[in-house]
Amino acid sequence: MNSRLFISLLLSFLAYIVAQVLIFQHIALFGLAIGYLYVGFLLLLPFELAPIALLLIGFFCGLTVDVFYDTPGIHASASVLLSFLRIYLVKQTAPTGGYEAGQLPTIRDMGLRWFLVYSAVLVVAHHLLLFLIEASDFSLVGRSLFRAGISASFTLMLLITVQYLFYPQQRTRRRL
Amino acid sequence: MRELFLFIYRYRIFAVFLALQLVCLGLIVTQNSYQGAVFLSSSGKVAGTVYQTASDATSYLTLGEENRALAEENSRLREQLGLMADQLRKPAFLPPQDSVNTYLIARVVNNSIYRPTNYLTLNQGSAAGIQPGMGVIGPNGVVGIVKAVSTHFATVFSFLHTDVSVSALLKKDGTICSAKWDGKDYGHAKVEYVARHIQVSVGDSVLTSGFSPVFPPGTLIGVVKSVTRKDSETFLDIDIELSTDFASVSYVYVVKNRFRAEKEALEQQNTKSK
Repeated sequence: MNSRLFISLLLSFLAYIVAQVLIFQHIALFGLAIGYLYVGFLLLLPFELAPIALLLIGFFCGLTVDVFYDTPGIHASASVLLSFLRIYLVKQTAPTGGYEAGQLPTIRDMGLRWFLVYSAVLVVAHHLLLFLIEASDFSLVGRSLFRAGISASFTLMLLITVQYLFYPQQRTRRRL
Repeated sequence: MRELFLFIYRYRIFAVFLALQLVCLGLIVTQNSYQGAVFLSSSGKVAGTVYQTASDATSYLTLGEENRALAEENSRLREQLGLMADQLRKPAFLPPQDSVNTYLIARVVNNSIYRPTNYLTLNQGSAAGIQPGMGVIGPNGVVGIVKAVSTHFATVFSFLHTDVSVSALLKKDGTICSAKWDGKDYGHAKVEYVARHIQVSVGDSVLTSGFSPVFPPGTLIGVVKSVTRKDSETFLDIDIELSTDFASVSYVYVVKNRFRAEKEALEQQNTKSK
């Protein structure tokens, strides 16, 4: 990993965490749907990162959110699951001949339809695990499943909005 | 031996995944329990400072609202003072109820209300004398219980946490019960263990009992909103409207009970000798 990639990853990590902790922590659509925008950081990591690096980044990203949310281990667990599934999803959907150097799992590089399927699968898995662990009480499981579903839709909407707003649309090499 | 290493190498991704999930599981089990050791929490230095800074910046936006709330509390206190004026002049043989507790003022720098397990972060910590287990009340009633402290910050279990329950009583006849949040809406909670024969009506106040040294007795928790009597159940199903507006709680008092250690030691002795 070269230093330029590292710095751009670090900056986008900080941006996602700050947005999550200071803004989206206090927003719930209809009092129910919570946006976990920070998963965008994990979804958009470049293809070229090694699988084990992805898992470790997922763990530390989740743990950082946990520290701010006072939920040690819960977001870390969901994020590690997301990173793990991502590894296989990316492997399964790889084009013949592999990904180009510097290609990112974004709408710009992969197309809206690919991104929708990719992020929907991973976000739903992440949210299901997250809300089920958080439920902590069997009487809340049904409600948690419902909240996981609508929160996943909310998160997806945020992810797509963020991509159109903050990610450059014309193809440039190696930008984050 | 070579095969073993090859095997591990082939499944290395899954092995790392499993190892990380085990670490997470360990954290979840040991750190999220109501009375567990806590080291990864928002009372830590970095998270605390981030929340403090953000709260410093945004607190200006709510100054008007806060002023109004403080003025209201002030007038209420003045009223109470007026009612007690007679008592103050008389020689007091018994110390007033609240010589037991001292109150430490703290500002809420972070607060969550939408999760099944909610927490607050306060801008005062062990340096101000706050310790885990102390009660936290706001101008309108119960807010939560301190979970962890660092030197300058404290993390608080909000009353809006499905593991928190508060020893309570009905103001009208002193029936002992327990108040607990049901994990749904931040304005409402449940009162448990009220037997079916008790007459409860809408509008009755639910107060803290003061049996545990966490909250001073008589602190308002909420007001009864609806009572359902189901034939199949031993206890009444009571919904209360919480008196504290958790969405806008900004200044709180941490309750420091002077005799807490003594009382707990004595009660411990009782359970041991049984």
